[in-house]
Amino acid sequence: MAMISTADFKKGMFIVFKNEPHQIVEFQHVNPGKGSAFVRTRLKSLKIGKVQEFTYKSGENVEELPVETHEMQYLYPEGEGFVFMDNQNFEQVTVASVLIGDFVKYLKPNETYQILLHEEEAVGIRLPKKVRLLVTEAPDGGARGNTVGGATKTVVVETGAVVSVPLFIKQGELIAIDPETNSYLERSN
Amino acid sequence: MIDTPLTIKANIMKSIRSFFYEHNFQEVMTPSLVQSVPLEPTLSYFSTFWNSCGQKKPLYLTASPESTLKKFLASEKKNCFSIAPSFRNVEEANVTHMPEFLLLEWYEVNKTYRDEIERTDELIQYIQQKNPHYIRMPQSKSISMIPMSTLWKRHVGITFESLMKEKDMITFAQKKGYETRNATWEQLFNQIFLNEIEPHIGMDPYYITEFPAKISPLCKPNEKNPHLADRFELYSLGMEIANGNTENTNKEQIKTVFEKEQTNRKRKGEKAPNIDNDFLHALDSLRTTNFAGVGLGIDRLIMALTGITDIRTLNPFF
Repeated sequence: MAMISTADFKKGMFIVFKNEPHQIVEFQHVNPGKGSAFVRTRLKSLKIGKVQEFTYKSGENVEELPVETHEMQYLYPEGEGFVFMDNQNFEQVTVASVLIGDFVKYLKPNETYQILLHEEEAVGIRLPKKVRLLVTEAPDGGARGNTVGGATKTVVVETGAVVSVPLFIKQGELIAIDPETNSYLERSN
Repeated sequence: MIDTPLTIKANIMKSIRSFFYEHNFQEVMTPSLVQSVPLEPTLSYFSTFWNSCGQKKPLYLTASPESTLKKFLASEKKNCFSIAPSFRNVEEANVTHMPEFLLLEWYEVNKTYRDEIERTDELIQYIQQKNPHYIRMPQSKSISMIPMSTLWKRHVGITFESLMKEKDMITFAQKKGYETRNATWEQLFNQIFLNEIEPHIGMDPYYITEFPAKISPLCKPNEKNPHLADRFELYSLGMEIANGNTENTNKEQIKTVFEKEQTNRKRKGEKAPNIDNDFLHALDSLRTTNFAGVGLGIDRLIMALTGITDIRTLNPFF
């Protein structure tokens, strides 16, 4: 049981809250008037994906969930989750849909991703800084409306995600996307 | 033309000053650097050293103009106010906190905290009238009051009066799943407030009244119910904006609080400022004076009035 204090909190860290595994989505320090310090957190339940707020006393002890990162290949969807296979030991694990969240639109079969495991159970996926995907549908021609700098059009990539890209991007090109913001980064050929 | 946040701030500060001058309050320019600070258990101070005459004298940045204003009051029993840079060694700067912020603080002789609720209403209405273009906060004649006990009953299911004993509060908090090891009564009270009451306060302005005396050492205990303090806090947009009370002038009581806190800090290996005897002396000479005061966060008030959402927008040069 790894006990930490609120002073050790980091965004993305995994902790036990109400006996269930949660991820710290964000936290901030608050000082109620003429009161001691507290840490207000937003915690995401790993079981049901729901985000709730909780305010800890500053310095309070909290149980951290030790988590390991595994390089795993995405295989296929199954039920309420997605099956991944460990590149090293070939073990398979199902990552619940709620843990993948919006990233599902970038999941490409046979690509390797960083899956977070706690005692062999998946607790999350570490979002890569960029994903490289093929443009499968790209309209020709310009965007509607005025074109003062940064003209864009929307394209569809191989996983079905829809992204805004510069006008020069054509069907069949490989592009890099920031999965956190769903924004085009660069060409990736 | 839309005014910038800094122009808005300047105009509102001008209105605040005019309000107090029009009501014949004396403005007191209070020092930021002081030799000792009120040892309130929950305030963390910035400290530094003064290379005075070859010696290193410890000095502090004030957390509020309170002690200076009370010393002023003791010498000249006049209604007074100060707009003072105040410093709190906070963990982080975020949308509602900065290590330095502007506190408006005022005191009135022969008044109680209920008079100060009215005075706060008047100040807000005055600012709204003088700056109609900025105002998002609903203009109302006066803001409603809710006793802290009612909030507890409504949202926690129990009155905090039934939890005045430390062990009762601890048992109750434990049952609700809160961590209680090394926790003080004040911490548990506030933790429950922040988790179970504050989320329901909503965006409308309210005065929360009748705080526990236990956590309000500088406030006068209520005569009829001494476990309650004659204290209020103004909330708007879910933020605490102001804190006011009828003042406690029981020097011995306050001295005990400071001494306890000094011991507490030394035990934890923290810096423990000297007790400000001039402050205690001032309180003592005010013991036959009835007075009340308010501390109000100017930046937060501006945020509540104008809809600016981040305190750092009003302090861009930090």
